Amino acid sequence: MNSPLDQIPSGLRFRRRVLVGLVTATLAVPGLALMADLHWRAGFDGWKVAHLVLFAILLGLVAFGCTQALVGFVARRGRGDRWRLGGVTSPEMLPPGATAVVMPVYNEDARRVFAGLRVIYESIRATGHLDAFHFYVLSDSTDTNRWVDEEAAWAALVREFDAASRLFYRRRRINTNKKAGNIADFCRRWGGAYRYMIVLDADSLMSGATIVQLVRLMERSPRTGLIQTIPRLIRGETPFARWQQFASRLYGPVFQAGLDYWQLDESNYWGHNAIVRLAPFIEHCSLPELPGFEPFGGRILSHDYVEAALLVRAGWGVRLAVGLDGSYEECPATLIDFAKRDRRWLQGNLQHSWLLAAQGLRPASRLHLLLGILAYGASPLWFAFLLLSTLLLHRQLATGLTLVPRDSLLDFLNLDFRVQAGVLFGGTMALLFVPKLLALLDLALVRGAKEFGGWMRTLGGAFVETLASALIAPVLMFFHSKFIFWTLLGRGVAWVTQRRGGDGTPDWREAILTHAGQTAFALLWGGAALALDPVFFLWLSPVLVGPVFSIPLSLITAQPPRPGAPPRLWATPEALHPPAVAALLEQRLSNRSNRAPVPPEFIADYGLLQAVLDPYVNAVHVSLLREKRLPDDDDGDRFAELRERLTTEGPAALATRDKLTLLLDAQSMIRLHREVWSRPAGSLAPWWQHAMEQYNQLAPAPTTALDD
Amino acid sequence: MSVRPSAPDFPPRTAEDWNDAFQRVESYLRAHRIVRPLAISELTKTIVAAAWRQSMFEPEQAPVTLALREADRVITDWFARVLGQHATHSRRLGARGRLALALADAPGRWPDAFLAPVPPPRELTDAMRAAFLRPGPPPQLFKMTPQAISLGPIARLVDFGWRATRRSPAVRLLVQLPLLAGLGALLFLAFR
Repeated sequence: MNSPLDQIPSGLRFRRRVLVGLVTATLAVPGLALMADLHWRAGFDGWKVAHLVLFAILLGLVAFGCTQALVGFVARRGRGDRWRLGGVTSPEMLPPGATAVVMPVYNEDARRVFAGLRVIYESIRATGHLDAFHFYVLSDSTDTNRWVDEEAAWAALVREFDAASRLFYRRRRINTNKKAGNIADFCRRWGGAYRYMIVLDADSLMSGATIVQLVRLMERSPRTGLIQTIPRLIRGETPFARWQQFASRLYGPVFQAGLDYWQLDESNYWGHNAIVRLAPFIEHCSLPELPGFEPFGGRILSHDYVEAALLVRAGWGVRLAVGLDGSYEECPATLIDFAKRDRRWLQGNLQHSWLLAAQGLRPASRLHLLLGILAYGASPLWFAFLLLSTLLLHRQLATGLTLVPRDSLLDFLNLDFRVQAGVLFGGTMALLFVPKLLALLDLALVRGAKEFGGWMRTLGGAFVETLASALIAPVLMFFHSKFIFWTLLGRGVAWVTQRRGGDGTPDWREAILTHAGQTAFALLWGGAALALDPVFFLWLSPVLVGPVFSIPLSLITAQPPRPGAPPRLWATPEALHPPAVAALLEQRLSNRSNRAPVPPEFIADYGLLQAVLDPYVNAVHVSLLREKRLPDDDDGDRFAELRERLTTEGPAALATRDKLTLLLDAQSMIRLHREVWSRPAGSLAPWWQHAMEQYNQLAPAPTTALDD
Repeated sequence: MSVRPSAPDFPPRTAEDWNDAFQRVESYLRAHRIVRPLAISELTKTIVAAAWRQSMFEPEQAPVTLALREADRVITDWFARVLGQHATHSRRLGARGRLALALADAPGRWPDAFLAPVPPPRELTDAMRAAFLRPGPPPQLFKMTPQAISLGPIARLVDFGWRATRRSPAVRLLVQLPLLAGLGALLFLAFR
């Protein structure tokens, strides 16, 4: 009997991939034949060839998705796929100090980052295997407020756990190569000291038991270079976030099982919530620069897919731990935040075009790269397909002739022209909806809907989710098409600065300015379609409703929940019964939300304020700066002028770069602490005087009638 | 403000600048998380009185400056006594001591020990001497050599074209014009 940890036979890989290819072809070819025949009957021309090519790509993608769900559904039946990677129950000890848990952060909320890390630390400690792990927060933060917050939060955690030899914080001065460079810097400095590295994101959460399981799986499988867990989405509060959570939790299992079925040990890396074997990673995964210049060339932005491809190329297994729970992450709270994240990911994925034909990569890795490109590239293709459909209709109507279809090439089907179009539409819709039905059937067969709050809520949630998807998908199509257009022109996308209300309510201005173009375009398109043919307008309208109403849609789905009223729609098992780590994280965050808010006048430079004024934050900050080897009486005081301006005029008088310069200089920070505290009020900026009052708040005398 | 040698032990209550100095010292001690009003008051008074005496010799110095210098001296002396041979007598001693206080959680666990007239408890001394922060264990530097990836002939050709068009505006124009013409022709064919 084979174990999932054994070497995967190459014949098995081949057979499974042939099967998936055949099923995909079986699902796609009839639709393609019907579409080609429709064009044939109406008269082929160059435009229709282009239309057919676009349809073939889009239908192929839909069919491949449906195939994965079908295969996954079947693989989950009975005792499941015997090659599926799950947990290991043996109680052997872990190699001491052999695993580094690393969390790269970049201008993230330090409160959330360290609350998550604390929970992970406590959860590992509860397993009794704390000695096997070291923890690193790898900061690339450039925002001085975030940076100082991170240092203080880390020091507090070290103090609480007495973990100065176990819990480390390193901030890079120069963020070479962004996140990939951050991890690579860790590997170069400390990678040799560890056997494994567990990579987390700033919003990751993993249970100690899962982390221990990952190390055990790696210990048992010496040819595995990387194991990726499947993070479940948690802590979503807005309707948009809960919608994503619900959809990924309900439909995810069949898709994931299907994905794992064909990729086996040539899986992919998603950049976090994964364990990496460090020696092969260091040897094979240092990324080269791509030819050309940004946005397409230069440094590789989406490093994870490429690192997985390089590991697989070098003969190491990359696995997806489908059977392992206890891995979580958060999702964007609003449609606009989601689009902003897509904008970043999209550019990285488009860069992968260079690698599609790279020599030595395994076919599975090429497919991962291609699917990553098409995850965004499909949007402009869909957009072009719809525009071309409108154009074809215009060209037909412009002739002034009634369409008289010629005989079908598929005459054995004996279909009327309109019926054939209807069958094609129905078939395409079936490919889209069958995976959802399979997921619901899988739920019924495996555990039932109780964990989702019962069948009524599950079916209701799935129905509303389908409507929401139909509305939001075209909005994302517009977003992605715009992003790709601007990326091809080598330009960035400007975003409106968000101004969320104090209670978390969404920003009207941001929504209006972000979606106004989509609304206007959809209205114009709809008007043109209506003018051409009312029937065509009806066909097109499902695509246009979402963009036309994108502003209210964006605002409604970004609403925070009402206090004391837990939302009933789109409940997930994790929302109804939070796992221990998620509950603990929530508790930690709510405990700390009682802190007094920072006065508005200090928000912009609160990090600098703390690092200069607070004796303890100053000490922590200074202790992490490199000491220059200079004689006591001459410290090469190059920054005296900057310090003087900061002291006498306040932080507003300095550019961000100058503040950063001072924050990076230990002597300056020691001197500033002393100088600001010891200057008489007359030679100190009012900002500092006001800031010092925070440490000596005397309540004003109560007002009485005598004061009138 | 100048002080005669026969001046009293404490500045006059009406001296605004010495009141400011008193309040600044008080704030600074609070910033160290000394919370007991009696302790703050007593320490502040002692520090301000010392600064007042010093002002006889440095009349040009502002009272706030003298008082905070005295506060710094008192605090640094305390750190030197507690940290003993573990302290490096440099300009960083103050920062080192404050870090040790913070990591030992002195304000939380021994709220009355810092700057108290009696020697600090042994546990606090030990905890402060053992306190340190570091960004990581001693590094063992490794080389990570970027992997050569041969991107294939199509990518090489595109790269060549890319570089050529980027370097020369004339070549760029030669590429852009046919593209624009093609787009125009496409639109003409679509709507003719």
